[in-house]
Amino acid sequence: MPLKSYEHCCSTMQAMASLGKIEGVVPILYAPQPCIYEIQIGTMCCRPSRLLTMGTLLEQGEIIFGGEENLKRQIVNVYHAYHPKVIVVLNTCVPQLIGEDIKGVTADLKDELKGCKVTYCNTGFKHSVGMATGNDLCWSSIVDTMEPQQKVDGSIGLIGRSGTDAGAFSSITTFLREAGMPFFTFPASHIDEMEKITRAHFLYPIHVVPYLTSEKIKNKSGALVNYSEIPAGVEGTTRFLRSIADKTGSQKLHDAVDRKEKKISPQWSDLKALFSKKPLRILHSGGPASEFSMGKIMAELGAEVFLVPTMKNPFANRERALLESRYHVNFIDEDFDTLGDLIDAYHPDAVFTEFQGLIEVIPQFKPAFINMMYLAEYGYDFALDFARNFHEAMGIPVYRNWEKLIRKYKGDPYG
Amino acid sequence: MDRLKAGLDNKKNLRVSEIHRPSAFEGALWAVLGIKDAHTVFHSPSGCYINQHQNALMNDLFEMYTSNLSYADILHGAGESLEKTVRKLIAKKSPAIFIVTSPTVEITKDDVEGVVDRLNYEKCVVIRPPVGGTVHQGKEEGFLSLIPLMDEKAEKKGKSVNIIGPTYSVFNWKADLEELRRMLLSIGITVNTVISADSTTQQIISAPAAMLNICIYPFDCGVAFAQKMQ
Repeated sequence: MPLKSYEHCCSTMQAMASLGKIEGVVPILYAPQPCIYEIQIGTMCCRPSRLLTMGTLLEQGEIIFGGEENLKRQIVNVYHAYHPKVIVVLNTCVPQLIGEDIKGVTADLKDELKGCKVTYCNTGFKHSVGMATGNDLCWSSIVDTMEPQQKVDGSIGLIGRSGTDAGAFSSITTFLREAGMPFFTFPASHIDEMEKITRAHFLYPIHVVPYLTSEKIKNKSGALVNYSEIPAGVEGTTRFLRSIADKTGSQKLHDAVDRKEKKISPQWSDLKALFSKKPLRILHSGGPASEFSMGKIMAELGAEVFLVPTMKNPFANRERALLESRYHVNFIDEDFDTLGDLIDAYHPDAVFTEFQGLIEVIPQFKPAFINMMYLAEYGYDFALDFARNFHEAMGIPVYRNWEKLIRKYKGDPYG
Repeated sequence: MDRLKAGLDNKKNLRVSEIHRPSAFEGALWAVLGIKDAHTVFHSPSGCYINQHQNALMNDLFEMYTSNLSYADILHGAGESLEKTVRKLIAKKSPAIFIVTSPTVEITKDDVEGVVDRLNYEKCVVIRPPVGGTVHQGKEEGFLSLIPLMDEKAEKKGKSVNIIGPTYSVFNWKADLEELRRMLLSIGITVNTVISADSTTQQIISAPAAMLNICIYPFDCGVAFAQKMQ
């Protein structure tokens, strides 16, 4: 059991940040003061300025006697103030612990709030796969409110990971558009757009995270879920797109992929050759399951990758099997105390982690990459851009200079 | 039901919009995290720990640990997880260990003190912030928890003061403290201990050596602590 947790945030914060990006949806935090404060502060970095942090501020008395009546009042207040299409109650650790009847509250209000659907998700206690699970749960709760729509034949439904993905699908949809294939994306920036996912004929998750979400959409719409692989890196993107092409019998999509591959192949070969001159050892620790996607890109570039997985579901199992067999990625399942222990064990040249890991990595003069800065990591162009700039981003000269200065003025920099 | 249909409750106003007040749990953590060489454990599920650590790291650099409690731990007793965590920190030879409880642990009223007694580690302090308390109440609890560590018989240092109040995550604390030090030094006064930002365990232990306690945020916190020290 680690002495720390290296995820970026808790499941509730991730749910809040994801839902808060969707027009027409208002998330309400059902939580005590510290949770609401932390989640508000935490989500300030990644949410639209107009997102209000709605909370019920569970107080001591309500913890003992129950806070359902107050929650009901707040939901009604939010409805009248903002007229959202969907209200999602984020049921956090404390109300989950005391057994609050959120389901009952949402059922009671079903007929009260015209034109608004109220749903909830239990985001508490999701260690050790908290952040990614928060995403999956909040999207599932949105799917619960959807009505199935008329299917569009041969259409593709892309299911993403976080709210950020709402703006990241173009690296895949460009090819679908070129091939004349109808598609729908989930998440999207408006709840009405998100609901169109039920029109999709074939569902393709683009990450390991949305397993529950995919199952719920499948149950709602009858569409088939096809988990291929994460379209990250050149090979991953190609195989993902070709799997869609094979499923739908689209020669146009195959041709579009052929054209792109022909165009980028020389650059990608050069970049791989550059990486192979000095093979790197890279350690990935901490979510939000981006260790799967970023680890995949690094492995394709020839790095020896060590990875602490932060998602466990059937999609993650499939991606793991693929990464192990294709790229010989090393998954770390054994227990460890701190990231420092992993660094001592595996001697990476660089580490992907979060801020609470950063403070362990920097004193060792190792380049550290913050996972949250590498989202929307899909498609060919991201892989090319990342590879092109990676060595410069490592900033090795800066670390070497700093080491020299410390040696000069203090002594042993590692003492 | 009529009140619900009316849409607005006059008695309890709409408790929405930006609720940006830290709680007693933040206060207690910020109070003890500033003791640089000590180890602080947030006895909590991992989510609470992550949020607290990440947010506070935006202001200051420090290390913090957690007992990584699961739902099962909370329901069946979190003592075992806490004991495992603290034993690992004892092995790191911490000069002091601060255990700050989280809201879930405060609800179940876990016997944290019992675990600490069992471990029999001299400088292991438990802080239980009040649910619903303010950040200043949390800080006061944090400061008060330091008193048992102090050496009452510490030899007095002439013309020295303790500065009470600056903690991590207080705006501009470092610059304010440096300016206070400068001004005091200019009249021949040295700062013995700062309670608590960037202090050390030894400085906390020798806090009673100061001639005077100065509370620099008396309307927020520190006065109760100073009175108890007196």
